[in-house]
Amino acid sequence: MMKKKMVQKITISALLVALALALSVAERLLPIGALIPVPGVKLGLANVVTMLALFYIGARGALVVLVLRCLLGGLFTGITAMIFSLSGGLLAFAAMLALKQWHARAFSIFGISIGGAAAHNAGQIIAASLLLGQNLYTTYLPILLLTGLATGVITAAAAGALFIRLEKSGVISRYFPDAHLMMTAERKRA
Amino acid sequence: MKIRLGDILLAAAALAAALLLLFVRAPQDAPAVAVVLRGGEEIARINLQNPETEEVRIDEPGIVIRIEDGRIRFEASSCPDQTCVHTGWLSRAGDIAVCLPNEVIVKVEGGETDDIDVVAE
Repeated sequence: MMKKKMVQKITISALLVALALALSVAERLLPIGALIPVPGVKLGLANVVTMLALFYIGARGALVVLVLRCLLGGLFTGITAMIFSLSGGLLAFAAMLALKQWHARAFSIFGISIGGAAAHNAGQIIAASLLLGQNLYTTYLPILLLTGLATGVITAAAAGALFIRLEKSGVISRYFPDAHLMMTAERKRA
Repeated sequence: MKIRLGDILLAAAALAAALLLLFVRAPQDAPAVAVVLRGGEEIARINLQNPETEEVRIDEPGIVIRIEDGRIRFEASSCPDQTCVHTGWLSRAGDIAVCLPNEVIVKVEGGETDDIDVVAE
């Protein structure tokens, strides 16, 4: 019989994958390609889910959620889009994990999110360049850094507000076993 | 949600890098040449200073490329995102526009040529 914690983790992870997929579909409704003409640029709301997993489940769980989200998303969008999704997602994951290790000291959720967004865009440009055999970096790197900055701030604001709510309402303590409360300071009572 | 030092440094670094790259571009001496690639193969090469054509049409996926005043751009495309069209005019060496779904690339080469001009024996 599986331990309750295990069942909880599996269920929550599945829920997060579904959430990430839903967000990916929802953000495609926004014509951000008209504002910023870079192939594959997007708001990156799914990064909020990756951050949630990273903060409250752990690196391994977050990676599983990410890969599953990309693979399942690929079933709807096709192989090419899946490759871009994976390359962006994995690089974003690596960046966010690296920044999070220094989280409490140097970076807040804003820094983590900006790093993740920029890395996500970079991963997509890398994939596009390799796929086409062209040097897309020199043209797209500046705008990719700037959009990473912008979308990073936006997703951080959304994620931060969400995480604070989840922590305060007790959702994290109840459904995320072993999670530390990252956003609300744990005050010591006398 | 407090903003921390690392955030500021990261944002500043990204901003600085972006601005730096925007101002470091290939100097234009030689006439610029635009190349249109489809599926990785070159289908058109146009001298932007003295263009032979004003328009390149690829009927099969429905793409129209326009050349005007030493510039080139995707004018129309059948792709859903229209990223290629929104990239706008390309004129400087290194400028590139890509239509991923249709596998069409328009890029501007120019400045120094990589070809060997003379071989001394």
